[in-house]
Amino acid sequence: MKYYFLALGTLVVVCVGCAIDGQQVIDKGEYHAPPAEMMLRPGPMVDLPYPAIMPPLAPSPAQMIPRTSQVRFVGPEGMMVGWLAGPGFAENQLMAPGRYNFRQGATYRLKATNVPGREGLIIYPTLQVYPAHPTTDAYLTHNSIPLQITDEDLDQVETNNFVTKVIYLPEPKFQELAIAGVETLVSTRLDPGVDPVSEADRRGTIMAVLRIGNMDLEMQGHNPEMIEAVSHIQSINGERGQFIEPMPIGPAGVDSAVPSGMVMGGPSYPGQPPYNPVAGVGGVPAWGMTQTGTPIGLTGPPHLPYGGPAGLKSHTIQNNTKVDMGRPVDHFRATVEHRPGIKMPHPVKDVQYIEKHPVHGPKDVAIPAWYGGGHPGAMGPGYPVPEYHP
Amino acid sequence: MKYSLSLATILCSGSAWLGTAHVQAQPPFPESPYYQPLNQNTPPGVAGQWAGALRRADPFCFQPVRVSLPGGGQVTFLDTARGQQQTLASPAQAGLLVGPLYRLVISDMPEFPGVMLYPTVELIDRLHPPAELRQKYPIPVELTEDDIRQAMNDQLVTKIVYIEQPDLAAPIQQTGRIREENIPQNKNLMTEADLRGRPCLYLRIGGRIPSPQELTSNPLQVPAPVEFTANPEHNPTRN
Repeated sequence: MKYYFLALGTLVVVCVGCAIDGQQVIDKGEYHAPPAEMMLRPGPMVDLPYPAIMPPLAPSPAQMIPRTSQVRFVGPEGMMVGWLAGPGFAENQLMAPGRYNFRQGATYRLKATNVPGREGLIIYPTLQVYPAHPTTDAYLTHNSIPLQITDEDLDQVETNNFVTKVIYLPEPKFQELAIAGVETLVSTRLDPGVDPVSEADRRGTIMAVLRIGNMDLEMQGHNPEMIEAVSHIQSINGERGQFIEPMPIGPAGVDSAVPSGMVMGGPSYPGQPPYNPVAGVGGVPAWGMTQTGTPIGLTGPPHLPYGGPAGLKSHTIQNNTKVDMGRPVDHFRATVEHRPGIKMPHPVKDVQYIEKHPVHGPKDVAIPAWYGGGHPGAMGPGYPVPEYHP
Repeated sequence: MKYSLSLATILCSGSAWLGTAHVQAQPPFPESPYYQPLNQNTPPGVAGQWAGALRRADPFCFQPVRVSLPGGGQVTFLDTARGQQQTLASPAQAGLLVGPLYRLVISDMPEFPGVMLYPTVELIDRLHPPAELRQKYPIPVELTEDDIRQAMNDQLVTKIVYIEQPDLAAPIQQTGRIREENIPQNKNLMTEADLRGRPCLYLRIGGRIPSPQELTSNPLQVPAPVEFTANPEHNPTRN
């Protein structure tokens, strides 16, 4: 019998031990805030200047200005940077060191030429500018993202290797320094098989990713002469004083931007009922009006708790159409969990407030400075001198 | 006369309590037992917005702020509500509201020729002096050479100016610059400032050069009016 319990106990330990590592039952007294995205807003429907039942009358000018990240091309010094703008590349748009504000949440195709010490080398890197995250917002508002292509990177590219550089803001809790600065992960310096984007994402919040290869995007054999015959392509070159904004070749591929407040209801077109109506708001009748509609044109029963008894007692529609859409799922269950769980300090439920006042005895009167300065007659003749009469 | 002197004495003591949390080998303060949702990485403007929600903001009360640069220079206050600006020599003073996020431009620093930086200032609380002494006791914002150098290297410097809690104040007389402490990134700067007193102002400075659109708009859709100094020649400074 005891062997039975021993075996049973071992089985329980083996099974349960795999699922519980002890952290779930030990309260370490830690507090875990909700994710930064949730902290940024007080909550849905309440974070506009008024409860977000009605939409704002017009977007403010600032809302129409797209957010940008300023990318600073640090080096190599003298390298010319162009970018894809429409059908062709805009050449020589800036020279390193230089900076440009790229719209966030987009990917751009760049063209780097005139690299010092590497005659004839032209590379076409892509720059993926991530949207600002609440953890990087303060940094991106005040700083540029330093981007440097080193000799080592170019050596790797010329030897047919693919270089990925990830610029990220390290997680503050791992930083001992007082000043926030960025770090760069380079794929060629990581162990084989380690994805620099995933690794940077683990260490902090990514702000930009630069990918460099040696693919030639303007090969002579692929000359778009047929297109030029029927259309007009204007070549843009910064050396002639021509500048154009880069056009994204795609989204950044990440969805970390925080959505704005969602409006839950409002007026509709004239003559049409409002959508997601709120009783008593925006022309929607208040509760109690007998406005419930039916498809047969009669007024339906009134809203509770007001109104008189309904005239219509029953309204039945029978549908005899044969329908075979498959059986619905009886039970659907989605299990979600946020780790660590959200734990906030509990509301204060007990406050003890003690206020101590000075106790004065007979003839021991404190006269305020503004009333006499502490001794009789300080305010000059004519001013009353308070006296204490026990 | 006695009345104003008494008040002046009280306010002088008050101004000596001002300090900034900016490292000390062994922090003398214990860990805060309270949860602080704001920190140095909070998106700019959120702290001010929350201060407004906590009814600390008063649209009619401009809090004078005095910005000092190392070795002098020019400070430009940008009024994005009215599209105006005023450039003053350091130390430069102007009135700002609690809530909005303000951009400043600092330039012409003799120690850093050709350098222009664009810090932001965000007031989350204010002082409460008598009305006639308001301009005489501004919130001091002091930038050091190290701050400027780090910002030029694209590092983000965040300062929180707080009013020291009298019973926790350093028992030394403040003579020149206001006292600064450096807090590592893995600490919550706001918690540290809150432990030491009443946080009043966020200052952030980095190396980004904003576009004209960014300078004339406000990222948080809150108008940011500035109370300019009436006579720029007479830029009030604390004696």
